Amino acid sequence: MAYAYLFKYIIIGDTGVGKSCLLLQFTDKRFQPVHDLTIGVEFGARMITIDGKQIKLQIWDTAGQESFRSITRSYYRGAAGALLVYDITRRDTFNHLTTWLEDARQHSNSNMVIMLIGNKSDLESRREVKKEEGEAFAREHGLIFMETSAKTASNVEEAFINTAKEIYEKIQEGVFDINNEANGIKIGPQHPTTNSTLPSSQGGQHAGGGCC
Amino acid sequence: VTVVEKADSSSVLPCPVSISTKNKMNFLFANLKDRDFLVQRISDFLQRTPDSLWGDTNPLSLIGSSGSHNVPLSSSTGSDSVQKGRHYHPGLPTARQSLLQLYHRDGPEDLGPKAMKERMKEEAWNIHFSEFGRGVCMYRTSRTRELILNGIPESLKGELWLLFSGAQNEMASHPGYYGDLVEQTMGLCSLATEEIERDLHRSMPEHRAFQNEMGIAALRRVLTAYAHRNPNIGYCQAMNIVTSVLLLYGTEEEAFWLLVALCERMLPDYYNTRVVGALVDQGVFEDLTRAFLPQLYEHMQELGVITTISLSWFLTLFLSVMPFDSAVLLVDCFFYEGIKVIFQVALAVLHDNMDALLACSDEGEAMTILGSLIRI
Repeated sequence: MAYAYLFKYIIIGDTGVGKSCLLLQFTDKRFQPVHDLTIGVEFGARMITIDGKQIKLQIWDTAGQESFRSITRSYYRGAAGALLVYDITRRDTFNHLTTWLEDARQHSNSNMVIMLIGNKSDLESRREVKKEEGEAFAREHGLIFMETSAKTASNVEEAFINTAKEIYEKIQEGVFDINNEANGIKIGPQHPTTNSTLPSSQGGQHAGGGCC
Repeated sequence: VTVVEKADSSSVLPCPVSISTKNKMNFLFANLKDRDFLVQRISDFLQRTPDSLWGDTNPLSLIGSSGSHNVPLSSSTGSDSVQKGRHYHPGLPTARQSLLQLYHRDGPEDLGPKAMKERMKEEAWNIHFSEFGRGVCMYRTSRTRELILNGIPESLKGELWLLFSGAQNEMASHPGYYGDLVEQTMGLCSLATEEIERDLHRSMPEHRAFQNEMGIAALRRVLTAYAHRNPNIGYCQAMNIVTSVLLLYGTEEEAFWLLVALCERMLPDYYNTRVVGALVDQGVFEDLTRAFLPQLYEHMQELGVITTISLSWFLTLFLSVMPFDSAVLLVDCFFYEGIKVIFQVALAVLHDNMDALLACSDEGEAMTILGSLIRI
């Protein structure tokens, strides 16, 4: 299908926090309580609309176990967005966030948008990590934050779409070099490249661009 | 093997050793340089191997007893209570039977086409056994390979996997080892046990055998025991998937020794921290792709796909990506011929999807093609 932009995402976080379930809820709108675990990496895609433009999200879902860390690392390069997921019912998955974040920052391009996600918000009675703690961590490290439930679908759409909005804004601001695919952004096939050099705000301004 | 002795030398057969097996076959090996040493070693080994053991672990006797699944109640109360205190004891259903045997036991006798096909396969194997022997002394002929390519019947998978992998020898030379390991490890907490616990319900969850506590508990014991035996590996995801299939066709102890054979011989370093062995084989697979499918290799290089998707093919022997029946057939071939088969199938999958893959413009499309085609 035609799209204006393609964004690459990566989903990371400890094993069992619900990465694959978030992806399945987002791409297929369903929850699978029992499922095989992810070995290596899996893949999903979906089209969304932002600012009237079709955007294709290409999402790489990774294995959380330490053994697979070196494989996961090879996916940071070429990702425009990352969903860093922990489980609000397991304190240790929250404690490991620093390691994940260091890994992500070290191996990704510096503009990668990171969304922190506290998943399993439907399990309020078993909560071990307060929402405020997630918010504080996100603030401290400059991340966007949301609590989601892959089971009830609460905030799942928003988590993926808000990340895309942030990336889209960065493109508009000219932060991303969209011609470099290593940034995890691709311009759609039908999308004339001239568009990207003509942000709307600059249209009709004086001779700065030096056109012929 | 029951007896090993020197035989009389003749000009035709100098320095022979005669070896007799339990099923009364005699083999004569001649032209042996270190005959004395060899006879000594084998006799020593035989002496260390308790007699009764062979009766217990011999797959033949297992098959014979598979109809009577209940534990004899005649054992004295004393030993009974000792058994009850243990986590793993002969009274456990999974200590005596594979999960599939237990699972079929409850169902009515199946007379459908699939069951008939199984019977025919069993019959073909029985003929092969009578002609070429059964157990460690079985000859491996071109016919053996044909039979395996047709798929080993369910009832024989466990026995033949043990035989082909060599796990049977190790199991026979370490009586009680598995049971003791289970005793040492149950109740211990470590990173490995935590991770195992989390994955027990994500191992073949669609199979009925793993939707109840019996199957889950057996899987827990085997994985925990292995993590304890080999701390270098501990527990690596993907082991759970493979082990659950081993448990379908073998007892717990058999599944354990098959896992040992996989982790330590047949798939070296695959499940080490950082799955190094599997990554090495990804490299080999890429080289093979370059040699056999050069056009596709060039294209995939641009997309960067091969290493991505094929890792799970190797780590789970296709069990996580193919329909169950096809994947289990592949496991049959794998135990007979080793990793070569997995490489061959992986190349065949790429070859079959070559046109579609060449038409892909990004790695996402390629992932979608390979992911969906293989599941059909």
